[in-house]
Amino acid sequence: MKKLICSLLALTMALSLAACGSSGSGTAGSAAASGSAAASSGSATTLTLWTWSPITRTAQKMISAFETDNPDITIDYTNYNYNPEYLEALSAAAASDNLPDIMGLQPGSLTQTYKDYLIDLGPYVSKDWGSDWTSHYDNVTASQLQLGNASGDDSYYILPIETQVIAIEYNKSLFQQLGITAPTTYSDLVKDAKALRDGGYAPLFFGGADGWQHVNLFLMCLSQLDTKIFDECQQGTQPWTNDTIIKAMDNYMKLWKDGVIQDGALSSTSYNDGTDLFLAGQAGMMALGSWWPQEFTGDDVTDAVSNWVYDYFYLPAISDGCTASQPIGGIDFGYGITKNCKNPDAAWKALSSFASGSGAQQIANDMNNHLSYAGITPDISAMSDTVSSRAGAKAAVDEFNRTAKDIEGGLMNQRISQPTIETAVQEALQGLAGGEYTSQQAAQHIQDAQAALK
Amino acid sequence: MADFRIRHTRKMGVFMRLDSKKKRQVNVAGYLFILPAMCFFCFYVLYPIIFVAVNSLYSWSTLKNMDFIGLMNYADLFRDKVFFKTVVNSLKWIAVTVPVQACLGFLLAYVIEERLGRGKRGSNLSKGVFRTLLFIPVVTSVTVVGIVWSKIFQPYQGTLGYYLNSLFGLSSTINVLGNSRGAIYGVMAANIWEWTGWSMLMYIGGISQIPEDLKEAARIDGASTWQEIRHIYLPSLASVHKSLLMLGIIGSLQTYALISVMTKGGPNHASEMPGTYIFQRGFTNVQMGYACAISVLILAFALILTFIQVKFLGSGNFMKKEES
Repeated sequence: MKKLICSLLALTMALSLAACGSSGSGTAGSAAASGSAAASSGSATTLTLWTWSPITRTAQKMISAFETDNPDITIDYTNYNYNPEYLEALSAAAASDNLPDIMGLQPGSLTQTYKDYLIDLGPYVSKDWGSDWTSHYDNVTASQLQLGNASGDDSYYILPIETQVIAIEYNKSLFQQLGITAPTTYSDLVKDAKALRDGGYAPLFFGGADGWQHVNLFLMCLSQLDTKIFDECQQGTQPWTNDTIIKAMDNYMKLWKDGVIQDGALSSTSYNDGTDLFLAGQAGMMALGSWWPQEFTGDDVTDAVSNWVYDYFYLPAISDGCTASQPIGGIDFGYGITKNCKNPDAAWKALSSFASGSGAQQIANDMNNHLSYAGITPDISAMSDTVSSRAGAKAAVDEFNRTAKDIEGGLMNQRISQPTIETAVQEALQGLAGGEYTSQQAAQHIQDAQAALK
Repeated sequence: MADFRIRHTRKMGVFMRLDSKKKRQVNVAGYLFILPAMCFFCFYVLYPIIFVAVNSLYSWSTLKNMDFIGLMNYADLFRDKVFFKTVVNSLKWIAVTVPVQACLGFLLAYVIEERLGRGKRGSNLSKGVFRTLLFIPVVTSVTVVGIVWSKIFQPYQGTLGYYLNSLFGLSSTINVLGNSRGAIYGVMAANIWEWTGWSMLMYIGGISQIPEDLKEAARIDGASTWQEIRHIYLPSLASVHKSLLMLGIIGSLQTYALISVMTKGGPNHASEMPGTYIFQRGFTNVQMGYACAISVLILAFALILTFIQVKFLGSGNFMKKEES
C-alpha cells in the first residue's frame, strides 16, 4: 500500500512538470512575455508592442492617443531595458517564433538580424504618404531607412519614429555662478573645465564605462575634420588607419589630457552616475543630445530642471585645421511589423500614428526626442498644468526646437551598421583613453575588425 | 548446488526472480521518484548543452539564417586574444576569491562557533544573530550588490574615495573599476564580500561534526589555539575545503551578473569573464554560433578542472565523515 501511494505521488510530480511550460504575462522586463496576439474578437484587435523606447510614461501617452483615435484596437505594451533584457527577449522570442506584432529596432545590424521576421513596410507607407514619402525625413534619417540591406533588397523593414542630434549640454546657472560662459574656442573650453574643477564640480562628466559615450564624443572630434570619412571607413572605401581618423583620435585624447573630462571617467556611467550629478548641479557639462529636454516633462523634477538651467553647444575646434563640431545624429529607433502579426493593417495604423499622427504628437509634447517625421513640434498648451506652469517651460521648448532646426540643416551620420565594428570602435576608444593603445593602435584595432568582415 | 527458483509475485505488476546467488529487485517506486528531476535535467540541462554544442558548428544570428561552417568557430576562438583574457581572468578569479572566501569563512565560523560567548548564557542567541547578519549578503540580489559596490568605487564622489581622502588625505578620485589592472580585483572584492557568508555556513556545518572529545583531548594535552586549528579543525574539515573548492571553481566560471553590472567587462575587456564575453558575442554582436563555441569550451574547461580536483583531492562529499 505504501509503495502504491509513493508511486502515485511520484507520478503526480512527474505530470505536474507539464504545467510548467505555459508562457508568462507581458510584464516589463519579462523575457517570457507572450508574443504575437493580434487576435480579433469581433471587431476588436489587440496588438503586442515590445520596445525600449520611448520611455514608459511617453509610450503610455503615445499608445493612449492612438487607442482614443482607434477604439477597436488595443495595444498590449511591454517595455524593456535595451541591454541586456530587450536583446535577450527578442532572441528567445525569435527562436520560438513568438515575436510581438510590433517591435522596436535600431537601424542597421539589429534590424538586419531580424529582417527575416519582418514585413516590408514600403507598400503601406507609399500608399498612405505618397511615393515621395522619404522627403519627410532629414538627409541622414533618409539614408538610414535601409541601412545594412543586402544588395538588391529594397524592403523597408522599419519605420523611423525618432531622430536625434548629439551635443554638449551645460548648466547655464552653474556657469554664471563661476563667471564662465559656453566656450567658443578650445582654450575657453579648457579654462571652463578648470574653473569647474576648482569650484569642486565635474567639468565635462563623461560616462566612460558606456561604449556609446566614447563613440559620440569621438564623432564630435571627427566631425571637426571630415563629415564623410566615418561612412567611408564603414563601407570599406577608406581604411580606419587613415590620417583623419588618427588626428581625430589625437584630438579626442586632448580632452582627457587637458582635464576637460573628469578624473576616473572610465568607470563612470552616463545613466545614472552622470545624469544624477548633472541634475543635482554638481557637473558642468555632459555629452548628451536632443533627448535631454524630456527631463523637463517628468513628474517630479529638480529645481534646475524646473527652471531649465540647461542649454547646449557644439564642441569648439580642438586643434588647427578643425572647425567646430557638426550636428551628428540619425535614427534613434523605429518600429517594424512582424510576419507573426495577424492584422498588419491594424499594426500599420498604429505605426503611422506613432510616426506622424496623434501618437507622435504625444512624443513631441513630452520632448522625448525629435520625431523623424519633420514638422511635429511640442505643444506647450497640451502639456499638463504641472509642466507648462514651470518657470523653464519656454527655455526647454526653445532649446528642443533649436536642435530640431539643427537636424533640418543636415546631420553627419552617427550610426555604425555592423555590431562587430561598433564593438571594435568602443574597445579602441576605451583602450586609447585607458592608455593601452596609441591612436595608431586604436585605429588598427578597428581596421582589424573591418577586415574580418570580408 | 545452484538452486534456481522463480517466484512470481504480483506486486505492482512486477515479476521478481529469486536467484540463490544474486537478488535483483527493480525499485520502480524509486525510479518514479527521480523521474521529475531526470526530466528537468534532460529538458533544462542536457538538451541545451546538446543544442549549444551542435549549433556551435554553425554561423548564425537567428534560427532562420544558419550556415554550417564546421569547426571554424573553434579555429577563430583559438586566435581570439579576448577569449584567452577571459580564461586568464577566470584563473585569477579562482586563485583569489576561493582561498580568500574559504579563509575568511573559516575564521568567521571558528569565532562564531568556538569563541563567541563560550559557555555563557545567551551565546546561542548571539551565534544566531551573527550567522544571520553575515549570511545576508549571500541572499541579497547580486544586482543590488553590484550597484552598491559600483557606488563605493565610483571615482567621482564615491564612498571609498571620500573616506580615503578624509581619513588619509589620499586623492578622492580613486579609479578602481576604470583601471585596466584594477577593475577585475574591484569586482572580486564585491564577490568576496557577497559569498564569504556561504563559506562560513559550510564551515559551521563542518565544525559541528567535529567530535567534542577530540577538541577536549587537544585542550587537555595543552594545545594552543593555533595548534588546535592546525591539527584538529583544518584536517577534520577536509571535505568542506574540497566542496568549497569545487563549488568555487564552477561558480567562478559562471560569473556574469557582477561583472555586467559593475564594469560590463571593461575597460576594454580588462575584467571580461567567459559569461560576459559569451553574452557580448551572442547578443550584442549577434554571433550566436561563436558564442556557442565559447560556451562549449568553457564547459570542457570546467569539466577538466573538476576531474583534476576529484582525481587528486577526492570528491569532497560533505556528508561523509571519512574520506578515502
